[in-house]
Amino acid sequence: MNRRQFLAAGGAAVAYTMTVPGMALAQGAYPSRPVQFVVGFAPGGNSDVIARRFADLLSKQLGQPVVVDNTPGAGGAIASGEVARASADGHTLQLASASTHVTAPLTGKDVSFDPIKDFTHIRLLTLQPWAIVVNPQVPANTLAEMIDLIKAKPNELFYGSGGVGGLAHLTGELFKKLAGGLQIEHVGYQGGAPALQDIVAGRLQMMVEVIGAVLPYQKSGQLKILAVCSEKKLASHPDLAVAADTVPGLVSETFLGISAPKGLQDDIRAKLFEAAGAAISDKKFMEELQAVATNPVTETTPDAMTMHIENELAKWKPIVESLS
Amino acid sequence: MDLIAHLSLGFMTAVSPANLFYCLIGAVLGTAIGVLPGLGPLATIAMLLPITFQLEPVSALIMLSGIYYGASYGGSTTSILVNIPGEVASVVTCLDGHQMAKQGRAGAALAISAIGSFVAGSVATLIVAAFAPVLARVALTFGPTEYFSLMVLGLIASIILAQGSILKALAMIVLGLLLGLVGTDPGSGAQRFTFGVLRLSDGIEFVALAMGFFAFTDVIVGANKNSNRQLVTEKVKGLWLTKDEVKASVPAIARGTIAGSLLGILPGGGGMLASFASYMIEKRISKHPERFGKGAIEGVAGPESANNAGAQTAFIPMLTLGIPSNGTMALMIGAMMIHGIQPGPQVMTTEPALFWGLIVSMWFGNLMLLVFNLPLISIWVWLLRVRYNVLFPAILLFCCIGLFGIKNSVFQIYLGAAFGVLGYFFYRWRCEAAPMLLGFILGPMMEENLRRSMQLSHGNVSTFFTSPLSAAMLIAAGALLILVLLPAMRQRRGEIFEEET
Repeated sequence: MNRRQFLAAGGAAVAYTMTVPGMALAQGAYPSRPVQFVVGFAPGGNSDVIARRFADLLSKQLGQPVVVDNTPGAGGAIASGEVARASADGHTLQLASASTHVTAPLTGKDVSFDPIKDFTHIRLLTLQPWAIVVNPQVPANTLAEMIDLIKAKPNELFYGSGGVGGLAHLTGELFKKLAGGLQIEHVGYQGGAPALQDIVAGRLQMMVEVIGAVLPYQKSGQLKILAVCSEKKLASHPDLAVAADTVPGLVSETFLGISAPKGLQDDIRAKLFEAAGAAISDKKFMEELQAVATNPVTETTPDAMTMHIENELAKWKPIVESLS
Repeated sequence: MDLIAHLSLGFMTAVSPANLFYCLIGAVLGTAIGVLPGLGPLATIAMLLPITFQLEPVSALIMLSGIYYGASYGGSTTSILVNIPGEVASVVTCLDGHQMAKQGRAGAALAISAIGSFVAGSVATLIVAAFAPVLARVALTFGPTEYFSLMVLGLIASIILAQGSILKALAMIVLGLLLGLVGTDPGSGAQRFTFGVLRLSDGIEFVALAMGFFAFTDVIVGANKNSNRQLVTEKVKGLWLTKDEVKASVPAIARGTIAGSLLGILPGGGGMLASFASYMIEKRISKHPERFGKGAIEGVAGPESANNAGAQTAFIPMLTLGIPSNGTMALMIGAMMIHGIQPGPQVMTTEPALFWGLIVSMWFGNLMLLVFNLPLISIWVWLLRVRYNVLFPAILLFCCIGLFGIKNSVFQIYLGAAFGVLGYFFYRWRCEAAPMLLGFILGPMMEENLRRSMQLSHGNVSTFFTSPLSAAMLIAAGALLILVLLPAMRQRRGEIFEEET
């Protein structure tokens, strides 16, 4: 536990004991005590930073502190497992992501939760597409040229990703499959940064990484962005080609959302949907998100998140199976 | 001269009252979290990041950097006083620093660690200012092949860490390598030696291993002796350094600064090895290697300087290439982007005030740390006079808080406790923990880089010899191995590694 959480937990305990006498009266008024917001990643990652800003804004909406609780491990599967077993009174929420609810359950053998049945998914928060980038020395300026290059040199080129079995890796495999069985070997790294070093140095020819992480390298001329795997052109970067225009179906975005254990009451769910929507639409927060090329989801429906996760699970399952 | 113009621009930015204030806040906060085991700079910066959005970008970065290098200052305090290593670098400080404390020389150990850190930090700051762009290119030439060869060299050199029997040291290194295998296979994602325990899928936590083998073992050993004793068995002999100690420390600080500055540039975990490397250099060239592990001041001065120099030069790949060398640097890149600054080689030309202001502020930060830390020494030493049966529950408590904080789970405490018991047996068998910890750190990095080099060279082993850097390091490793194994060297080795009596 880090210091702020320690203090917050202490504060929470005090607040809890103070509210106990009034509990019967306050039964209907959610939230009646501080809300725990479980983040399945170590403090300091991109998702964690977004989660902290979001928790701050959400607590203003709810009128109770929203305390970030980092429970890292196993790609977020530890956090998902704990939230799945928590009480569904709305006081335990989770930052759900492509890792915690799609790739971890698909790739992990010892995972103890069902990403759909064990959760009440409340609202999608952000989407960020993956980008296909190459070293500037690679003689390809479009995705089509890159496909030709890989076909001309089967099994000679390499692409990197921030981890075996992560969404970036799976996106690379989807690209290979949809482009007609390309032969380019995957090299797995522990996180995006070491892979970035090898592609900037030219040891890797290609890499799949979230668009926000590679934009600075394009500006400095250290990398070329061939395409983004979004559904349509990015409003913020209309100059970037869309992968699906060259390789139909190559759409892959990583998401963040807010979820609770299964069986959350409908009125609490509706309240959280509204509050989360208001928090993510905060003007300053939206600007900060867009600065790192993360798109806040401002228009959505209560069912959209469950559907999104179901679609993602169905989309990546065959890819994961073909890998193992 | 350009450098002087740049530095004066940086100076003007750094001495503004607001920036000095944020520098101080960062440095003090960094020291505080460095002293508390387990709570690292990464977690602290993550929590403070939202607050810094309101600040000027340069002030925000100055404060965040202060936390980062302040923590590498503070980390040595608990290592020296109570044998709790909170991070990789502090393990080495435990070896001789805590021994010095036990002999009543805690004041000298703390002083030399603060002074060495300051000197190293200042020199490394100058290196960053003068050579950042050139050194950044060196960092890029280090690929998996070069890292693998560096790890081989490190592993062979780790035998030097041994104080007793070489055979036992080798066994401990291998044990460390084996423990490093636990977790997710980096190549295939398969689970190794996790026995279905999901919490082991990220591997064994280094802090749990280090706290178990150092702090917990120490407490068990202490409890076994007279319970009325004090931690400091002898009288505290003065707070300041003696002439001999200064004489021994000056060259050690110089060597540590060079080793740390070089290793810190490498983004792939080079900085982690800086303090180990410096300790091994000091022991190897010392005329009295038998003093190491028994309170040799060079064993504190060198590694502490190396650690801080490495922390400083780690900024080079981040500032000039936009490539983070560790999690904290990655977070700083995030902070820059939120402030609308694109990290990368252009920062120096588009944001000169920020770039040079940050660099100059690092020197101010290091100075503040020195001024701030020296008076604290007498307070820390006073703490050692607390009776041991009062002190050790406090040590255990802080360790448990630190262990819990790593992943917000009690699992790490159990793991630390188990390693503590194991560590006690190793203590009785006179098997040392330090070579094991180095094996534990090097093993996974070595494996990952070996597999990656083999993959990228299409399985061609010659890749390790066609790269000149890699070949040079392998030759050095081979030479070191011969030096250790050659029967003719037995006698000399007897001097280096004091044989068990």
